[in-house]
Amino acid sequence: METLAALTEDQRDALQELMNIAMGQAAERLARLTNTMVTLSVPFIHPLIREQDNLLIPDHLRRSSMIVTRQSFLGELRGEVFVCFGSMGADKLAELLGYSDGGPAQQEELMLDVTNILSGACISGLAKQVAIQVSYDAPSILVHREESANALNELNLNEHLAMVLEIRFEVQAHQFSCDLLICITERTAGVVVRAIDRLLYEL
Amino acid sequence: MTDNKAISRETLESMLKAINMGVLLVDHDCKVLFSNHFMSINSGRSAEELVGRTLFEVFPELPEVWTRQKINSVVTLQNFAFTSWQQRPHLFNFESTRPISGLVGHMYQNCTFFPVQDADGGSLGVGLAISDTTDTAARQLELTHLNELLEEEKSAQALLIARLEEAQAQLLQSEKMAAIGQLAAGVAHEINNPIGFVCSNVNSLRRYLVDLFALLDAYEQASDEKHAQAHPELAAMRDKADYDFMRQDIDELIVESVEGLDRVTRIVKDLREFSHVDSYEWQLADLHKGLDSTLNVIWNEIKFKAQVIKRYGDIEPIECMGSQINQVFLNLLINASHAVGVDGEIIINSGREDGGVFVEVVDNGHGIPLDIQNRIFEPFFTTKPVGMGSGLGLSLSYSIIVKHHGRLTVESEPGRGSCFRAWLPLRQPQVQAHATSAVEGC
Repeated sequence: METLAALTEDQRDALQELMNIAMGQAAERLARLTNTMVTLSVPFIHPLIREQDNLLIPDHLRRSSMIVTRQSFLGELRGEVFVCFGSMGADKLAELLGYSDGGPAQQEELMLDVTNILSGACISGLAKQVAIQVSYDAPSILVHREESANALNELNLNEHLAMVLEIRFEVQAHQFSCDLLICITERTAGVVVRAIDRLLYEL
Repeated sequence: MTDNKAISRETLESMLKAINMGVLLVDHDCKVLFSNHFMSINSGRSAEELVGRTLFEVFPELPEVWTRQKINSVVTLQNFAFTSWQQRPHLFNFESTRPISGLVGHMYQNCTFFPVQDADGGSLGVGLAISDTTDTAARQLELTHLNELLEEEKSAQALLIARLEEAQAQLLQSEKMAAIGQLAAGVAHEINNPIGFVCSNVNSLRRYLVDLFALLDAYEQASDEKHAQAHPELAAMRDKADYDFMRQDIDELIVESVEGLDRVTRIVKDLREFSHVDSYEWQLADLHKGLDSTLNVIWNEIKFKAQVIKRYGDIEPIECMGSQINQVFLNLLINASHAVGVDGEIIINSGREDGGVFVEVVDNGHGIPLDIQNRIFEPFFTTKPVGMGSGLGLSLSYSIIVKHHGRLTVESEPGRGSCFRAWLPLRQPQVQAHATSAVEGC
């Protein structure tokens, strides 16, 4: 099986297109959910990196991440999504998701909700286009740090293929951004590659 | 399982009812459509009481705005939603499932919200699956608590180790000092005896000589010219011995010897005072006396290197452990003498300040580099070559001054010199002074 790392430029463009469609659908649903204007930036896909044990994470993530959450997606496509929040967390979205006070437990819960919504949107969008079923487990907090330094370096990870999606939200007047790191197990990444090839063939 | 028709609706329903976790089905308006045994048992309401009402009527503990938005998000996004016991421990206000052994009052729950579709694939509502995590939560909370205790203990131990290190350093140095002190006291004692009788002999000798010379004078006066002519050898002997000079010189020799003996006696006394085998207790002491005796002890080390200028102020005796304070002076003076080069100058200032007294040892030596100024009081920190300095002198001085409730500070400018300043209170706080002296006494 070819790894995602070996994607051609065309294949990369196609993957970008797949994610664009997925995020577009996610934005539309989020807008309906919150009854507000939601603008999701076109996700920027960083070069795909394949690493044995650690994530070669872009520098801006290393600097800014305070809290990292994770959520698994299971099925024919398996892997985990990591969401890196900055120091602000997801506070801007609290009211829209029905949170009232700003206690630490609620902030965490809010971030888990955002993780769930974002990974659901991305992975379900992707899964739908490659016509497979995925399920999810509950999201959880992976790293919670006062100081941001190298929060992501300590993770001990299994072999995987990673792609980093940088996503910017704009909800009403508030800008909010976080980064999604989608890691797909080596064994199931072929599903995505085949879907990409099909997409390219159909063009 | 292959034949779906074999499993009737009723069978599925009874399975859902019997399953050992909470199952609820609600419509878009949060009205309960289905509820299982688990929910009835834990809420104390029968399924009939629950079905047909909104979640908020039957579970008033649920925050309405948040719950509605949660249900709404599941319907809109057709995606799961979750709550975890860690962030939202008691979604439903159920009693603990460890009624006897658990220390927790309420059931901890994880909850999954999932979209439920009707037979045509349309959205029917939202299912809630509630699992009991009380046992896990209780264990986890216990572990967290234990971990906190361990962390506390760890930091307490680190503190202890630091104090132990300090105590050990002090012990090492005070053992060394005690040995030197004993040696000094022994030598002083051995010298003291012979010096004692030499002193008294010299004094007797002086008296005898006075008498002897008086006798000679009397003889001289008694002899007349005739007698001198009869014994010319007497005059020859007198000239040969240079009698006049001898008489004069003997006086000077005696005076010098007495002075020399005084000096030896003083050094012996200073040695005894410095080693102060007996002064490991709090008493009133004159710091100037301590400074002088310390200077005498190390005079040999300093005298060719630096000129010592004393600028003593008017200070009263303070309550301190004399031998320990002398040790501080010794360390500061030795360090100053090591620091100075040609034209070395060591100035000792003293005076009153802030209800206490201060002593400054100022040198015009090479100074202390800025980057190590905050380390010089650390045990084992030394800039001297291996074997020359133990790195204990200043750290010990520091701890001695702190034990006296005083302050030891340093101001230094590389290339210009350093000023070490010890400030000490006139009297020690009551309780601590006694407690420390008890420890010292051991």
